[in-house]
Amino acid sequence: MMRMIKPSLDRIFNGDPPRDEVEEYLSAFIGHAERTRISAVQAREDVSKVYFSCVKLANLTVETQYCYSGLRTILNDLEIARSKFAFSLERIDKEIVAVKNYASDISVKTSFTLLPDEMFGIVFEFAGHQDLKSVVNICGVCRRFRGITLSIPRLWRFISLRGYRIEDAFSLSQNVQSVRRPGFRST
Amino acid sequence: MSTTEDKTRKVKLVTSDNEEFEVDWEVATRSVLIKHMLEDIGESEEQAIPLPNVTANVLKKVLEWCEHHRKDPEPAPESSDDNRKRTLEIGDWDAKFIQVDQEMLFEIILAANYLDIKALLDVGCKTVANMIKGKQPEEIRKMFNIVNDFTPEEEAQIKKENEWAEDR
Repeated sequence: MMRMIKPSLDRIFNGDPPRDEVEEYLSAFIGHAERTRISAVQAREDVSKVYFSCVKLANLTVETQYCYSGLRTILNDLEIARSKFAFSLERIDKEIVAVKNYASDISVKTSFTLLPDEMFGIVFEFAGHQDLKSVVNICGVCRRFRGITLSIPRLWRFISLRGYRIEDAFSLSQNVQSVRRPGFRST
Repeated sequence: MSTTEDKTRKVKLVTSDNEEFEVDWEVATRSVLIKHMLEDIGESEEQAIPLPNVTANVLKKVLEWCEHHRKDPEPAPESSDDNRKRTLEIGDWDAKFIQVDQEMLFEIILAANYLDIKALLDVGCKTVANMIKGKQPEEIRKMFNIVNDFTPEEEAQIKKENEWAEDR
């Protein structure tokens, strides 16, 4: 049966659906339905459905039909391209992060020392709060850091000593001279 | 200066790269610098406040912080440095906020200092403090490209001094 309707569909796509032709197929279909004991009413409804959906499709021009298949191909290509790009994008993203970090690292390395002493002071106070080890480490970085740490008495307030160090500290505290030259020569 | 009228007032800020931001008075005045400038200008003026030391991308980030902390109580005006909390703890939101690259971190610190936003400055400084805490001098030098400018004699003395801390 579908083979009978098929040429009609081609006609429909190529121009106005010829009503008489459709009717002709319709009666042929009903005859076929009767022979194969399909309800004639049902058959008519089915064919009408096909006919009207054909009419709807017929509103699309031939170009659109070609366009559609073309679009499917393009869509398919794009989907393939997308997955390829997704992979590349992932790599580019990684690259961006790496380059950004590298640039940031260089920027920090060149501009870090431009921070004013006052701000280093705040940083050191946080880092060295009740942590003499960190204070001593910061103090040993460079002259500038040493000068800053030694200018903040609060940093040196908590010194925990044990054993012979207590004796050492006591005797050192007698030696005022060594206590009084904290910053080496100024820079 | 903090009248009810102020709450609805908008403030225009212009960055060094000429980008204009319009924010709520309450958000902008998290910055003591801006607050003082607004007081100087007076409420009648609709003048934009120039911020020649801050770029748009940094101000955007700073304003994000100000927006989140807009309802925070103002710090006591004379909270002396001695009373300033020295813990390295950072609140959850702030910790997430400050997860930026180091360049931005330093820009935020500089901007917070310039704009006089103490709480934000503390967040930035705590983050840098966490980076250097517990690190050896050489590691710190490497991290920030600092030249060791001590003479060998000075270095020897520092080593001696360090023995004190080694025992801890």
